[in-house]
Amino acid sequence: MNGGAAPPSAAAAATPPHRRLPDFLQSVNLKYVKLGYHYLITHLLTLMLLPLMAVILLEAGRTDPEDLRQLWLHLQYNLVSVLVLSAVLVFGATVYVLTRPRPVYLVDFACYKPPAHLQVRFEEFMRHSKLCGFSDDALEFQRKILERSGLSEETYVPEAMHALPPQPTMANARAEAETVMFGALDSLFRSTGVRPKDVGVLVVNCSLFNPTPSLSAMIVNKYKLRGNVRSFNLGGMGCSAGVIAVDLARDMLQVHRGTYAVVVSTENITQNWYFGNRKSMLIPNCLFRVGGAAVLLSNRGGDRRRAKYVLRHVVRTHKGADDRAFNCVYQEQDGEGKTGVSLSKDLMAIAGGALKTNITTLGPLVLPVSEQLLFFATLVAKKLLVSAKTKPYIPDFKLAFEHFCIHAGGRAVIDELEKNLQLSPAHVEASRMTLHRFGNTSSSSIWYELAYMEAKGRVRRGHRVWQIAFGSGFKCNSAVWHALRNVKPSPDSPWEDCIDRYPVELVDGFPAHQ
Amino acid sequence: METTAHAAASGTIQNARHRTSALKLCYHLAVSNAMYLLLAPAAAAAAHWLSRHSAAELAGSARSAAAANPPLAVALLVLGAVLATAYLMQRPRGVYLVDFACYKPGGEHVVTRETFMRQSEAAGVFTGDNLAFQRKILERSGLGQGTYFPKAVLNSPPNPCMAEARAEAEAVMFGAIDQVLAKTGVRARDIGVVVVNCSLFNPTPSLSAMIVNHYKLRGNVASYNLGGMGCSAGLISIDLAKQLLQVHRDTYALVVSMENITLNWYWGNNRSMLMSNCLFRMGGAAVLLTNRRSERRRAKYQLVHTVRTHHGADDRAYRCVFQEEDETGRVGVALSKDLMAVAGEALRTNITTLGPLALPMSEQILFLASLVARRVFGARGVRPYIPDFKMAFEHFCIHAGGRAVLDTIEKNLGLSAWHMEPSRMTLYRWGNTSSSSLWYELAYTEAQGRVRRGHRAWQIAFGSGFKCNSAVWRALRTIDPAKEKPAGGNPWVDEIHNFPVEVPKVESVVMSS
Repeated sequence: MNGGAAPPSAAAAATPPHRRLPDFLQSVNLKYVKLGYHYLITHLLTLMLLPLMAVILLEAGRTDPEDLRQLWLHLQYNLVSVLVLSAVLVFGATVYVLTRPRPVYLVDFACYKPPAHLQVRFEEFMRHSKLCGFSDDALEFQRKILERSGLSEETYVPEAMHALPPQPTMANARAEAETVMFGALDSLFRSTGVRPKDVGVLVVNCSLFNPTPSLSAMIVNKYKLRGNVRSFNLGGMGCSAGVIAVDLARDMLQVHRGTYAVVVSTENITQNWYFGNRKSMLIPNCLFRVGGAAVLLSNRGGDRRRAKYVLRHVVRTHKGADDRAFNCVYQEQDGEGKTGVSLSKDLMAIAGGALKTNITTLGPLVLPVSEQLLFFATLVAKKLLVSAKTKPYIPDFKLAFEHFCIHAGGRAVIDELEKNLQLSPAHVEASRMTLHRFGNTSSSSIWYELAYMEAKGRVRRGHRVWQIAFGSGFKCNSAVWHALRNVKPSPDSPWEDCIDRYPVELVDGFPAHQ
Repeated sequence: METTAHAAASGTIQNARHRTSALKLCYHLAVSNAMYLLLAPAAAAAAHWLSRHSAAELAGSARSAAAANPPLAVALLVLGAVLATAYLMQRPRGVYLVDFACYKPGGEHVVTRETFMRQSEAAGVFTGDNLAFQRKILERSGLGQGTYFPKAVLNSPPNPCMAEARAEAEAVMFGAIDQVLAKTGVRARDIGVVVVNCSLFNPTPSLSAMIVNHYKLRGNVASYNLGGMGCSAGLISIDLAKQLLQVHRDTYALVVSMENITLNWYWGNNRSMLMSNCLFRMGGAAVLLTNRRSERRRAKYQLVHTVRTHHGADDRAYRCVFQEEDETGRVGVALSKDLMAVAGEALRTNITTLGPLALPMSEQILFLASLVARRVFGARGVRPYIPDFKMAFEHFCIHAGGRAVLDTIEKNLGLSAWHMEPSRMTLYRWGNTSSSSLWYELAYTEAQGRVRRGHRAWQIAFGSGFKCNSAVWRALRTIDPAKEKPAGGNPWVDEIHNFPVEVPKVESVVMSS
């Protein structure tokens, strides 16, 4: 779980400056550039065909009927070679068509909006925490985190946490899961008109709550999905598992034709509240909130007419091979046997390294050639002029994407990405407002962010959306969507009744006018 | 006099059965070779016709026909090319099982039934009635004296905690993976897909991330961690890996199936939750799959079919295996009395789906005829025909969920004791290792020297939710047990001479006082 980072002042005091997100191009690894260009090569055939088609069209424009007749006579006298050439061309075309990945459309998605009585004001949060027996140090630490978190007083915690004393039972955890998942799915089935029995693939991800039967089985039971549904329940895969679930659904839709895939991304707070006093484990209490999303994907050609987006790319990078990366978000028991998720001080540096790898792979797939040439030229220059202080070139991802959905892991994460990708405040507005209004809903936060942009009417036909998330393990996963029409918000959008109040201005995490 | 009559009747029954088997065998052979029987006359006629025309004449005819109508010739050729290419491209990519390994814990993990009872008593949380209940379950369970528990449960006092659960997971996963990588020589960085399933222990970072960390897998590995999907999740993992190998080309998929006992021991007194304690044991398996054609030469099996059926839409099925808190707030997995009935229905659905894919035509015709007859004449007088799966498969790996499950399947599928032996011996020697038990069973079959080239093995498992999943493998070569022993990975090879053993229906647990 990526729980965001300690506040800047604490971070500055606790860690030397070099611990902050590194100047990430200093150590670009050629291995990953190679990987990126490998992806490029897989699309090379398409690129090579374009000039050829252009030449043919030009030539055709200059042909007259007499030339056509002469050509026909020649063909008749060389029947064998014509036949062979035709066969080769047809074979090549068929191979191309069949090996091309099938388009995966996003028909619609729905985010769960909890009822108002689950909202938690800071004063209530602190009062409950005090009554739960946290130490004074822990209480003070949580208060500081809360105040600088960028979260408003309108985020939601589960029923079980509102009770005094808290009731973190499995039954309540199941109830939270049911409420969130069924709330989002009911909305999704209603808005799309798709019948549950037409769903052929179901992928559910939830990191910290994996009961038996699984959450995916809960959905099969509730909606009476058909017996041959291919369901998968991903557990323990962290905040970036929403993109992993989309990747899995996409792969399934390559294998199974003419079907729908439902992806449900959620997290569960009830049994994962930390009741101990270790500071590195207290941060999730202050950031994680109730939320979940359901996404309907399709590979049916007929759905293109009503689909909002088509999925262009998914890039997954796994840094688990590095011990520091593997351990920087770690669920364990503290000295008193209380289970929590510990966030290490390395988190921001690890996240920076993972981001660097991910965008190095993604860049060649999405950046315009101009940016790629600049990036590559700078890279080569740095290698050749070893002693020169060549300033690293940061690709301008604003040329590749119109919209950014950066996982709302915490304010520090958003701050660092804004700075290092040279984004404007407008580009990270959706992430900040989602963090403010809903908190860190883990794997589903990227969907609340997309819903925000839709509610603002910003997503227009042809726009490209980049979703990027970090997760335990350590992983950095991104998905690129292409808007197929001017997108209107879904019915029951979680922003429906409050979008006019946003954006709100935040100064150092505080609303500017409070 | 009565004895004589009884013997005569018995003889009659045996004779009748023998005649039926002989008839069925002839029928099976006739139908299986029907295509050849029909094609032989056609081939003869074609040969006769060809002998009356020279090759040159035929070539000349073809050329003149093409020249007469070039557009048609081109169109036909194009159509042929398209269809041929589409056929080749659409065929699923072959998925091969290079090798697999099952984890064998060390001697310090052994739990005899007496040890089990002693530990349960010493825990001080079980009532006298429930201790007696557990002993009764143990006596009838079919488990032997050599199954394994993690240290945390065997310690006095037990010390289950997340660190111990991680230690158990690491020992099992890395133990099995080390063996399969050593055996195959595949390098960790060549693995492009990792699928791990463990139902009851899903820490953050996930078990799949633990594998990426330990073996330093490459950064673009496609890893998946399946949680909460029950005992049949081993085959869900195989199915997932198969489908991912259609999308990711020329790579290896590592599938790890396991369960974790440490944090899932039940410390309460709800009887429906106590059965898990008596049956579930430590174990795990690692399976290496690939879609590289070059591996076909050394692969053991090819994956022929996977069938998944999900009964979660039925409330009774959904609830018959359910993890929840008891009245005192302790978490356990409750097994309902409906379990066997639900399993029977799930099996029926799965084999109804698998039948047309795997059964020989002769069995399919009989099954269909029986189905039609029941429709036409009503259920009266026409018993449902149970297909003879022994005609489709040589080996059966039935999830060792418990003795009752094995008994039910043996009866319903008409299997012999020999066919059930791998499952019964796995239950006896390893207990219910959950999703990995199928692999211990296949390993037993190999260790006994039963797997020969061309043989088909059927793995079938039931799991919470409720699911019934199958996989069908075809052996690509004869497995020589003598060669398996130095290679490692087969937990049976050092002791296979001790098996099979006769497992009594009731075997007393002798308590020292």
